[in-house]
Order: sequence, then structure tokens, then C-alpha cells
Amino acid sequence: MGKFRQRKRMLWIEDSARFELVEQMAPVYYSGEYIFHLAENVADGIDHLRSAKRKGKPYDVVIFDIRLPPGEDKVWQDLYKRTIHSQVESQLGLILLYWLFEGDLTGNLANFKRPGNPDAGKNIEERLAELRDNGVRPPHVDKKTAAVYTVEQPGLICPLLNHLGIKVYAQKSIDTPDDILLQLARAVFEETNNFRCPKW
Amino acid sequence: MDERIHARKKIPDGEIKARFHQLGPEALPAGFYLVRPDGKFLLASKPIRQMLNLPENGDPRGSIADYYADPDLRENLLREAEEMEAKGDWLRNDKVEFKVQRENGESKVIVQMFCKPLRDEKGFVVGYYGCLADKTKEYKHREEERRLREHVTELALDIGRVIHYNSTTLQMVEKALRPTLDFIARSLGMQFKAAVTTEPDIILEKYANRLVRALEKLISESEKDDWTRGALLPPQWDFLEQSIQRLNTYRNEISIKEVQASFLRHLADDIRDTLNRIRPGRLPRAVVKNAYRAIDELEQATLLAPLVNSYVAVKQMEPALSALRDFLTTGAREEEPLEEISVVELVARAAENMSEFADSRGVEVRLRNLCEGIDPKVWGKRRDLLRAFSNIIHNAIKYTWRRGRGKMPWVDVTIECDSPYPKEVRIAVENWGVPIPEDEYETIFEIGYRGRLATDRYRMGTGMGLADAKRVLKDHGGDIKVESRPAAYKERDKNSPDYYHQPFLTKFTLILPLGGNNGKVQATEKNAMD
Repeated sequence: MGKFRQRKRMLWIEDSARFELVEQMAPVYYSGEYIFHLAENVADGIDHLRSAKRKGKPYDVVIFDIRLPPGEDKVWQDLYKRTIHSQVESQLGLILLYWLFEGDLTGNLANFKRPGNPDAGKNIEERLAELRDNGVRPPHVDKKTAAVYTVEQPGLICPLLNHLGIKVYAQKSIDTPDDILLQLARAVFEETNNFRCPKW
Repeated sequence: MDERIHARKKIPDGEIKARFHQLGPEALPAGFYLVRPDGKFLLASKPIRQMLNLPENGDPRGSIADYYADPDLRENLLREAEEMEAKGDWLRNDKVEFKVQRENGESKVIVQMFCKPLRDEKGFVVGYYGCLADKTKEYKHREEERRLREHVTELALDIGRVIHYNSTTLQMVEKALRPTLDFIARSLGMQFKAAVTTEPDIILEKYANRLVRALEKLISESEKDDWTRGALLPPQWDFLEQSIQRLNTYRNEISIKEVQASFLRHLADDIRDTLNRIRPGRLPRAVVKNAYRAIDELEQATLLAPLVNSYVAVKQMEPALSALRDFLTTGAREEEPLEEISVVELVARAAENMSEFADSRGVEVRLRNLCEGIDPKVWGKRRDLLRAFSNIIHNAIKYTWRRGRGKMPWVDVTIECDSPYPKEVRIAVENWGVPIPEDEYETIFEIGYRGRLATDRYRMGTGMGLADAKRVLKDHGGDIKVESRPAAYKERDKNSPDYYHQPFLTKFTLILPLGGNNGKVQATEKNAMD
């Protein structure tokens, strides 16, 4: 750990970080290579991203979860409530990604279906439109810095990540090593073929 | 429109009756019928014609006897009708099954039937008359509802069984955790209760500081001469120096407390690896041994934190799960008898049920009876009321904040009567901690709803307890209310983002009529709680 070496900045947007994933943060701190921030819901994540931009210190890597709670933000809370019948399926993280990286996207998700919810893509589009109509502008984030770490199956999520141009993805599992965040960060920086979504 | 449509006129009563007789009972929208003794229809109003697929006008033709799904039933019903007539009553049967031929085949019709015999002057039965109503839809709905109810009960029982299995698993986990925790606590020279109720970061801090002192001593011993300095290579000494720095600064560097234990475990592990490289005989054995002991202790302390968290989570979930199981299986159990119950005893029992959980959270539950000289009695179901009281006390313990070092948090449970001759009793359960926003005063009692601040500090819950408690209180003719306000004298601005970050005094008031709805008002001179 060099004393004067500039540490990189990492943001993890994840609501389970303090629970079953708690061991996965320690290697990041222990490596001494990162200034690490944790956001535990969408609103908190957006605050971190906005604040980083304002301070001129953007994150070098942002790791997104997909099944996220909304946090203290009325617009996202409303979006979340709309899918209260299945909060797991609400996938606010996915809406967040589309909002950050596609902004005014229309029509591209129309064909996206989930098992048991053929209107999944349409629903996301409607909610994105609501965000746009509410006049909420997304903070700027470089999509090259993004990685997705989620329980979602690659078959379900990869077509969307490919479309968004997010290249780094890992699926959570019981065997995931504790240093997964460090590995994902390296995959973002080094642009290796590790943690790539298969082409769908 | 003809203006006479709304014109009314007064005529003699006899004339009104005559005009009505001209129309005949067939004009009524109800299903009126008149049949011969053999069943041949003589009169049938429109609803019956539609129901039995008879001609819309004119002679209805056909016989009612042909419509019975069970051909023997008609004779039985006629006899019954004759017997009922003798008692001056109608035959009424709510479920007579008819079969009706339609274009698309035979269909089943469930009929509600009223019937009376029509007799001549000599008393012979010359016909039967009455009403028929089509109840097929209602019957189907009722059947569907019954099936659904059975299904829900079955499902609730299944969930109850799964929850029972989970409760048992939790008890096994607790049984395994308790001695492990006890062992680690003792090896750190702590009492079990202190290990559970002290904030884990305070314990970590203590042992991290101890390791710092042990390493500083080691380094200072190494600085005596080249021989002692040669106990390790320069990069290894550098690593120990950096480790001291990290042990001193980890609290500031790692704002997420939950990670601190894991971080220190990694660090302790690497320090041990480095100490393993010390060349024998270069440093005083006692100093090296002391450093190893400090590492052992820190590692144990880092294990203590997750163990305590798991133990507290288990203790927290146990009552919630058992209340949920009780709630789900209420419908499946034998109806509990109503009885006279002492409120003082009920409250004491509920607090006793929660005592282990309160201990695990380091919360004191204080009971007071302010109904002077009175042991208020209510009329109700003991098990349900106990579950409701326990739920509310459990919640109060769960959502109580710790009040800083050396200050034990508490929950106040107070029994209040409105006068020396009270009509109702109030049980106020108050805590100091997590707020309930005013706009949630009603919604928190909705089933499955969890307050938006309820997950504060990762408290778990089912969203069932309050809904169940409210239902139980309402069933007993009572109610439950909540009020939550900032605990500080000078409260913060309501619009400030910090408003809900300050401690709130939250009071749940359970209101029950004394003696229940049966008017068995009881207020005996006894104070069991005292």
C-alpha cells in the first residue's frame, strides 16, 4: 500500500451489503486501493453519483445491484409501489441503469418479457417515461465504469446489459469469492474477457 | 310523454283490490306458482317461466314434478308442506335441486321453495301454491367461497407448519450459538450478557487497541540493536508499522461498522503470518507471546460481533415467527372460550414472554398499574389477547434505540383507568427510538405493511403483528392507537432530512372495555402486579 498512491473510487449500490454480503466489502477496504462508498437503495445511489459529479471526483467503478429498494425519494417510491405485488420483480436497479445510460429511451424494451410478466419491458418503459415527465435528470455516469452484480440469471439480464453497453457482469451465488468486488473492478479497468455477459 | 304517467288518483279500496285481481299474481316479479295435486302448472309468473324454460305467455304447460332431480323428493316435500300448514306455517326449503332441459342440454338449477296446499271447502287438497326463486348463482358462489375458505385454511396450516419448522430451526441455531458465544465471551473475560448487550464495535475497539500496544512493545524491543532488529526483514517491520496505523484508523476509514470485524480479521491474520517469521531468540519470548495473545483475542472479538448479530437476529425473529404461526392457525384451532381475564396478569405474562428477547436487546421492560387499587378485568379470549399484548411489547423492544454507554434503554408498559369506576382500561406501551411518521398512524395496522422506518438498523419483521393486534382488540370491542413524537424538548424542523433521525417517543395505546361486551363489568380490589 503506497502512502501517496492515488486511491481509486468505488461505489457499490447494494441493499444486502450489510447482511449476507458483508464479507465481500472487507477485501476492498483491506486492499487499501479504494475509497469505498456504499449506497443501499436507488435514492442513495443517485445522491452518491450526483455528489461525486459535483465534487469533480467521479467514481472509477460503480457496481449495481438489480433488485433494489427505492430509498427516500418520492418518485422512485411511487415507481416501486406500482410493482408492490412483487417487489423482487420490481428491478428498480434495471430502471436505474436505463435511466442513467439511455435517458429518453422509448420502444427498445417493448419486447422484453419476464416469465409470468409479458409486459415487463413495457412496464419499465412506462416508468422511465414517468421519470422523464417528472423532470428528473439523471447524473452523468460513464458506462465504462459500470458493472452489474446481481442474482439475475444471465439469460434474463444479459440481453439488456448488452443493449446498454454494460460489459461487466457477475451473478451472485453461494460460491462467489469474497474478493468479487475487487475482481469486478479489475475487469472494468483492464477490459479483460472476465465477467462478460454471453452474447444473447 | 303522456302527462298522465305521473298522475295519481284516489279510488275505493275494494276497487283497487279488484283491479289487482284482474292482473293476477302472475304479474308479480317474484316467482309465484299454482299447480294441481299431480304437479301440472296452472299459473307460473315470468321469473318461473324463465327459470324452468316454460312458454313465456299463455298456458305454462308442463308439470313441476318433471323438474325434480330426485323424483321422490316432491312427495316428501308435499307431506312436509301439509304438516307445516297445520302449524300455520309455510314449507320452506332453501336447496331443492331441479333439472331443466335447455337447448344446449340439461342444466342444474338450485331453487328456494315456499309451498302451501290449497284446499276446498271440505278440506281436500286441490292444489299447491307458493314461490320459487333461482338460487343457483348464490349457491355456486357459496360453494366456491366454501372451497376457497377450505383452501385458505389448508394453506394457512401449511404455512403454519413451515413456520413451525423454521421456529424449530431457529431454536436449534440458538442452542448452538449460545454456548459458542458464551465460550468466546468467557475467553475474552466477559459475561455472556455483557457480550450480547455491548455494542460490538466497542469490543472490537478494545482488542484492536490491545493489539496496537502489543505490537508497539514488540517494535520498541526490536529497536535495541541490529540483532533484535534482524528478527524480521525491513518490509515485514514496515508491514507491522502500517498495521498499527490501520488498527488506529480503521474506525474512521471504515464507516460501515458491519465490515470492521471482517477487516480486522483479515488484518490480524496477516499480522500473525508476519509474526510467524520472527527469527527465534532475537526478541523476548514474553513480548512475542503477548503479541500472539493479542491477535488471538482480536480474532475472537471479530468472531463475537457476527455471532452476537446472529444471536440477536434469532432472538428477534423467534417471537415474531411464533406470533405469525399463532395468527395463521387461529382459524384452524378449536374456538377459544371467552373468560374473565385480569389485565394485570395478562400484561405481566406478555412481558414475561418477551423477557428473553428484552434481555438479548439489553432493554428493560417496566410495568406499572396506575388503576389505583383495581385489578381491571376484561372478558375475552386469553390466547388472542396475550398474542396481541406480546406483539406490541415485542415491537416496542425491537424498535428501542440504545441510549449510549452505561444507559439501559427501557420500555414502559402502563395500565391506566379513566376513573375510580372505569368503563375501559388502557394499556400504554411506550418506547424511545425509531419514529413512526404521522401519515403512517393508520397504515401500519394494515396487514403486511411495514413502516418505512421499520427496517431501521436492519430490524426484521413480518408486517403481521400490528394488524393482528388491532384485529384482536377490535374483536374484543376495543381498539389500538399510536402516537409518535420527538423525544427532545426542542424538536427539529419537520422538513429537515434529519427529522426522523432523532429519537421519538412512540406510544401504542391498547383500549379494552372492562368486562367486555357482555356487560360483566369487573374491577376487583387486587393488584397482582404489585
